[in-house]
Amino acid sequence: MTVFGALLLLLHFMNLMMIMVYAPLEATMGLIQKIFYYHVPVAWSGFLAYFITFIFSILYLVRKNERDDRIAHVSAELGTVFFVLVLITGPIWARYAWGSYWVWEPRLTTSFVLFILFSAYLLLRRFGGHSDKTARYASVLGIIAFLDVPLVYFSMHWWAPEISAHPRNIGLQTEMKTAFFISLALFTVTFIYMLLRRIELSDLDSEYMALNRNLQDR
Amino acid sequence: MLEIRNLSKSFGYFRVWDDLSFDLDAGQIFGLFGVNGSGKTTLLKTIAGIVSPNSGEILIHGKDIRKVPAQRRHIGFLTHQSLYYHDLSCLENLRFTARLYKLDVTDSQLLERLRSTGLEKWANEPARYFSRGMLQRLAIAKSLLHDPDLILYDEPFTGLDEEASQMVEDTLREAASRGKTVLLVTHDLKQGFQLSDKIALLAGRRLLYCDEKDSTDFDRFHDLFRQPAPAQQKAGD
Amino acid sequence: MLLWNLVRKDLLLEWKNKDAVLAMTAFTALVLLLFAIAVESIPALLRDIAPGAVWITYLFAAILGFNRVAMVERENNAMYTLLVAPIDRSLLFISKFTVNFLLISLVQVLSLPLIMLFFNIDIFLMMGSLSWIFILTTLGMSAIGTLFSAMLVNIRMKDVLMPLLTFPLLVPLLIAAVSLTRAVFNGQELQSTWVNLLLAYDVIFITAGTILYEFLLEE
Repeated sequence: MTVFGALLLLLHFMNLMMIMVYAPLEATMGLIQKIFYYHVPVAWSGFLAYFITFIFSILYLVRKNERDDRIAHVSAELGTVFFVLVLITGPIWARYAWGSYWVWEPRLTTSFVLFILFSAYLLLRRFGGHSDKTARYASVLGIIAFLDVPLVYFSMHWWAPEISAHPRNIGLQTEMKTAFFISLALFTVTFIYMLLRRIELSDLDSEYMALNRNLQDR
Repeated sequence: MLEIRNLSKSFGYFRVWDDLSFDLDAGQIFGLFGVNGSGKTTLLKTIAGIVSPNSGEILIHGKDIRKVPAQRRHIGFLTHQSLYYHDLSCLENLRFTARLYKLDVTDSQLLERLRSTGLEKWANEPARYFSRGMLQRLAIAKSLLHDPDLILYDEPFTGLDEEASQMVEDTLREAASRGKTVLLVTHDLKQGFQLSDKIALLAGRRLLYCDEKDSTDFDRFHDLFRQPAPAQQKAGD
Repeated sequence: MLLWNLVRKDLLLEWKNKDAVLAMTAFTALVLLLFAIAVESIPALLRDIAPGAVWITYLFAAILGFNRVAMVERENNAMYTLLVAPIDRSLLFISKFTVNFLLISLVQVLSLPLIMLFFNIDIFLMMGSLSWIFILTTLGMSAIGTLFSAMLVNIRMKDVLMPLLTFPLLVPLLIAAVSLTRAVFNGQELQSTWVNLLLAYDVIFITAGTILYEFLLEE
């Protein structure tokens, strides 16, 4: 494990401490509310991951550079992992905050739709084989899926405006705000770190395949 | 007339050809040979515009067809699959193709075309019921409808009887004599060799051999063709 | 005109064997009937679920159409002819999109008497506002459907994958269409937010489809 990775792990531990100890207990929801410090940063990182997939899908179609496509792919992988966490932490919080595990509400629905679409993206890549055709198909899917996001969000928002159950600008106490932003920053950094390592791994993998193929030709 | 510059293509990790370059002049029949999987069909499809190369240029009359799609009007393409619609008749298929190329032809002119390939009796029959020989004749009529300067034929003789095969040969020779350029892919070494003016062998991801037919010894070429890939590569070095 | 030539070719093919239209119409009729039977005992409920039932049915029927229209080029690799021809490839998207739109609209028109019968709604009196809703929604469906049917045309599992891929994308469209249709059925005013959503949806995905389609066609 690299030095930076170890450092991150330590920071996460400290983050947890901070959340549990430093951030005050919220009045109505109590201990469960602290999931919020994980849920939101993870969701934000997930969206960022999918956004990166979107951008690199476009880049791939334009530049036809294989590396762009690989970056799009690994970002989607990471994003999906994060979204699984979002879809787990969300309902847990929801059960205690609103009384039910799921509600048809803009952000939840958008998250769920994105999750399905990008899972389809990953399935397509897995079963499509290593060809530029698969890469192109996946790129198109990645672009369309992300374009749908604002539309899904707004459609749900208008459909049942009374179910804006997601807290908006909650009046956070200063300590809560601090803890939150620290957690957010930490998760963003963690995500970027994981992405960069994953891209490195993908580069190595690609090099290996190229060498392997050259050997077979002899 | 056709210039290929540094063309490369790979499907994922599999490299088909690297850095291909060659020229074709007008009025020549260029025979492209190679074992199965060497990438001959892919090359033809790339020149025709069906497959995108990873890098390189394809120039027809000096213009890159990737940058100027309209240049594709100079291309006539044929493969062993029929390429048209089963439920439409000969006439309807040809009419569609004519309009695709913005040709101002009347039905009687199309019928004349059909007559020259011996298909006028089936002008209004759906292509579904045609035999292989008839399908090939329709495909030829279709591929030459717009009088292309570059004729790309991929395995046109597959499954044809002697008479139909001869007809294809005559068509190609006649086209070349009128100044058209023909790029022919066939696995029949002897027939292809006989028909061509220029010969090339695609192997080991590049053109191993490319020269005038008249300065090529058939037996030596045949031997080269039959060697396994690495030996072909070595021989070419 | 080139576009008309492409559209006419597909319509001609469809006319010859009527594959798509028959499948879509039969399906629509049956499913609407089933919905009506399932809820028949509670008449008030019928009117309530009508918008949802109708649009869900159209959605599934549309998928049948998309796949069949895309399959046309698959036999004998007819797509090669289109790719070799010196035409702008975005025209291929627009022509398929137009064909899909026309076929779905036809099925919708044919289903109107059925809606009137099964759900007891004076639908023909509402056509003024309903036709706009139908057109806008069908434009959006066709854009997404044309794009993804081309992507899946060679894949075995396309009948399963098509709904799986397109339905999440069509969620906003469905919500808007159902809300607006319900408003019309109940004689209420149409909310402009939904109409704007439909317009935005159509513009975004027709544009995206026109640009992205050709990447799906090459070998």
